[in-house]
Amino acid sequence: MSLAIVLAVTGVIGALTIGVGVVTIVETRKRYYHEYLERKGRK
Amino acid sequence: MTLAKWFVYTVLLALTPILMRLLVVGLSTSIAPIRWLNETDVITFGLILAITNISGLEGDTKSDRDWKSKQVGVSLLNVAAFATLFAVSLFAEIAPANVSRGRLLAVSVFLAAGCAIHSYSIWERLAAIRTRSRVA
Repeated sequence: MSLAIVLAVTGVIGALTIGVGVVTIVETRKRYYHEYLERKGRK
Repeated sequence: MTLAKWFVYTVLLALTPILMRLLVVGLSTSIAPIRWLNETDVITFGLILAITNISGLEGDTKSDRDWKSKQVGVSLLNVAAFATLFAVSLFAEIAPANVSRGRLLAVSVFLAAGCAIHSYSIWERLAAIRTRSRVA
């Protein structure tokens, strides 16, 4: 029972943190690097 | 702060307790009762990353306010989690029979790894915003 609680709480916090991080990385690469590379004329 | 500075000033410095413990373990004889990975060091690593995120986001004026609020919220959640884990690690020293150190270490490593990914994403975004405003 206690292991299930540990896994649930850790899973929620860890998944939220990793999820937000991965979404931010993808969003940043789509938005900012694309603009930056366009301005620099590399793309 | 650029990504390279974030890595050197934050990640490398936050990893110092873990690296120094490895050095001590390497220098000790095989009969010395020293663990090569301690949960307190991992918790400290995660705590430093989460606090640095909040500090970096507070100092930034160019990014989207909603995005900043989300990142600060997740970072605060991590700070609360690591502070609790730190308290549990102290309980583990006071009453070793009452706390599973293996579970504590596993939870700390998982959350610290997540926090490292989150921190990287924040500093990459802040560096990209700064680069864009410099080019524009």
